[in-house]
Amino acid sequence: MDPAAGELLDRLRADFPCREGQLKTLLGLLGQANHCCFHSLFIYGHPATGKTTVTLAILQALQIPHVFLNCVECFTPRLLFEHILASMSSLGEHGSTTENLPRCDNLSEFSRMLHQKLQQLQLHESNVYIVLDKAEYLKNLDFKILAVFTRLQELTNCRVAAVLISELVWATFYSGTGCIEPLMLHFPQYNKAELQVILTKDFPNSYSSKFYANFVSILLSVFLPVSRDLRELQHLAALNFSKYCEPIEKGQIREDESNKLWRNIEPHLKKAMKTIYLQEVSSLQWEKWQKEGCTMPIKDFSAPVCLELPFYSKFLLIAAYLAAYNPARTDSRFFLKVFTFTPII
Amino acid sequence: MCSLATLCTWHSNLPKQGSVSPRKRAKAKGCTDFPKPPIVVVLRDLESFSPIMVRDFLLICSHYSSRLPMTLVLGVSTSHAEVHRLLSHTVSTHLCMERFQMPSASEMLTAVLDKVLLSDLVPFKLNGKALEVLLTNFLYHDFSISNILKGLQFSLLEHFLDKSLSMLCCAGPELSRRVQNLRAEHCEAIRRTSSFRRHVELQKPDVQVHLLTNDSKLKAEVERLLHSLAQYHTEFFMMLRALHVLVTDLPSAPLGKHLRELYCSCLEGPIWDKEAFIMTCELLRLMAADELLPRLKACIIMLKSPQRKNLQAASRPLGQVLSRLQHLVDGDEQHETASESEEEYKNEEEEAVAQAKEDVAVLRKTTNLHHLQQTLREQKAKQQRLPSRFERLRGKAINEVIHLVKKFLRPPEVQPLHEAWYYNGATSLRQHLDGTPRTSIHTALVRPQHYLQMGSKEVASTQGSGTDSLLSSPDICVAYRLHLECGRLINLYDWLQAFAAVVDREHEDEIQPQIHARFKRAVSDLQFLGFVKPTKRKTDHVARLTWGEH
Repeated sequence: MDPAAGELLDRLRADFPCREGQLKTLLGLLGQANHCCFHSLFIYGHPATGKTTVTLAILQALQIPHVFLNCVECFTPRLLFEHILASMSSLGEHGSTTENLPRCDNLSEFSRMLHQKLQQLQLHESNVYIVLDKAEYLKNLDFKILAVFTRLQELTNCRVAAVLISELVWATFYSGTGCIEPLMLHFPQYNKAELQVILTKDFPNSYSSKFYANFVSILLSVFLPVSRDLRELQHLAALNFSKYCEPIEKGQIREDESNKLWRNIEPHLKKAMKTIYLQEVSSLQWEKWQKEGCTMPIKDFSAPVCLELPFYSKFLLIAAYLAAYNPARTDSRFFLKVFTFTPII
Repeated sequence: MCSLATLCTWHSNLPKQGSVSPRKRAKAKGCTDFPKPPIVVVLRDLESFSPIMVRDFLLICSHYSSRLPMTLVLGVSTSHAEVHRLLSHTVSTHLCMERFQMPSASEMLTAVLDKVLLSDLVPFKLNGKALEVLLTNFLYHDFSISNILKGLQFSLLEHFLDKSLSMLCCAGPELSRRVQNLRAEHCEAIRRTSSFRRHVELQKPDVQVHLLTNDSKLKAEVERLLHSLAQYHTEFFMMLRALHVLVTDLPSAPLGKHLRELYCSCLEGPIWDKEAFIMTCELLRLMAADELLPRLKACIIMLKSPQRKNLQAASRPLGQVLSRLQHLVDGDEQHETASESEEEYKNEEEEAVAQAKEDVAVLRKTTNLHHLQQTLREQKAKQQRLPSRFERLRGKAINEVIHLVKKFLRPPEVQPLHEAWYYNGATSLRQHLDGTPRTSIHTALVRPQHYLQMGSKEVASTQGSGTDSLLSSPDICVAYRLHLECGRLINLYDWLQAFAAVVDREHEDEIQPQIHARFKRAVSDLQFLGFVKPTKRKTDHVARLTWGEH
């Protein structure tokens, strides 16, 4: 590995702790512009494990021409194709996106136009990557589309490859024939120690990292049983940190008395788990309550809303419920206002 | 092709302060870096969306959230937990939710009525029956504010369309202008109004003649009457609110808990004659000081209005009684000893003592044991416990309240010219707002000419009774008429034969395939309308589903 690549690896390692193995693999795969590129790459792992972020960071750092798109919004093949072609045209030096693209409906047209476009942009000699995030949505489209994306090089005769990013494993993508097995790269979920390291990374300037690490370990001890999602934990940390250091700012507790701080924050975090984690109150409302320091009406928010019904609807509902348990011929006996017995002949 | 990317480009090309509301623009003056307005998407009735669609939409939006500010308004009519049922946790973490809850239907109704009907700013009013139609519909059937509004709009429409007097339904300076512009036929219409006639009959004979013959005199009188009607309303609503404060939280609330209930009973007729009101007064007369005084105070505060001299003057005696009560409760004896009521009290006491002496004298005369028992009983009945000072003052206060109610809560029907402001079309309101689908379908099937525009010849033929009228009506009507004569289960073959006998008289012995087909179609139409259904109880039978009067 040349020194420039080593330097880059160090930089990325600082940005993305606990992702060393994946970074090395990706740099090895994408790092050399003159190398022949793979036919397709499949990256999978749980949500919030850094799949998309790491891939895009490397592509940007190496200044490799690439197209990124989220497959959620491509609910028809045409949207997918035109999206790729449109982003492709912005890759060129002119960056002209305003030109009107011709309609692109099917796969053969897509591969033809992709080839055309790459030649137009003088990119057919260099490696180009199409990054498809949330690739599991491609399964909802025609199964052939996935097959085409695994063998783009073959079909377009250019050095273009798809990088599929998904939360599911490749085994779930099998359908029909035509797929070439892509290269696999797994992003494992962070364990507690790793989460601790990553969360501690964004400590605020006014406090030491050790102090923040203490807070993070308290936070993890409360929230880890319910969520391992890094994004959620980051959000919760940002939300609750101000409450954590409130007694310090008031001068009631010193910074190193972690026991007292823990006792102070723990009931608060439990309360937060009940409400914010269920998204019943917005973080904005939560912050407002925190500032006001009021004992907020949790009950009001978690209690189900009392449904009111008009007078007769109530009766109708009760009658329907009762009638469900009676034979139909007794209905008139039970539900008529005036019942006169008349034997049915 | 439209996608969120297109929207995003459009949004980024927006001029910075192009389509911003004035309020936001005013805010923007302060800060130099003003963000573009967010795109607001309202999803009404969220429960009916397919969860997958909502999920994808939210994911796409969250993907674009850095470039395209978005605010979603999710309308949920059941409970907020529905959002969590619909959206998985991974999706709902993308949202920053804030909950807003609509007040309950009953509260909304109170708010609407408060603004529209229970206000002296709007001259247009509903009379008791019309209001009752709207309220019954709301409380018993649908809980729908929009239906109430529709009802109000409909009554406005009818009022101003039909009644010539409705042109006087306005307030302030506009009123005098309109009165001056009254034409001769309008004056005649006013003279024919029953409430105005009643008013005229109470005047002196020479005034009567003037009012009935001279238009300008009439106009002056009408203007005066309408101004006094406006004043009546102002005082009416203030008094109504004051009374409401007094009676709203009584045990078992005989006059109702809501202001609208009280208002309805005031509209129906003189409230002071109503049993509920008499019961309320009884309850008030039994109330302890610590409960009664705060209510009376709140009531007095409602009545105190510097603009309304009339009301203020009338409520003064009540205020005096209240202050005396207050002193009594506070134990301030000095105020009371000097008052004349104290002397009355003494007199009564002396009388009672004299009476007691007399009774003892009577007792001594009796010899018989049975007789003694009887006299003792009589005396007991006669001997009433003397009311304490507080009780007498309390009674006085209640009497004052009743006096005020009699003075200010007179029903609007006794006011002259109330027809100009009050809409009284309860029947037409009911007719137009409450659909009666079953009756309509029955009418349509029994008398099709009611809906179908038949030629005069056909109409003439349908005037006749029995099968003659049936002949010209559509097949489904024939089938319907025949099925009315059957019991629970209908034999299809008998039905078909009867049908064929009516429709096709030429071929009596055999049923033509066309007739058969027409019959089948009519029966399946009836099944679609819910009159018959196939049954497994008996082969070749259908069950009838409707009975009773239409």
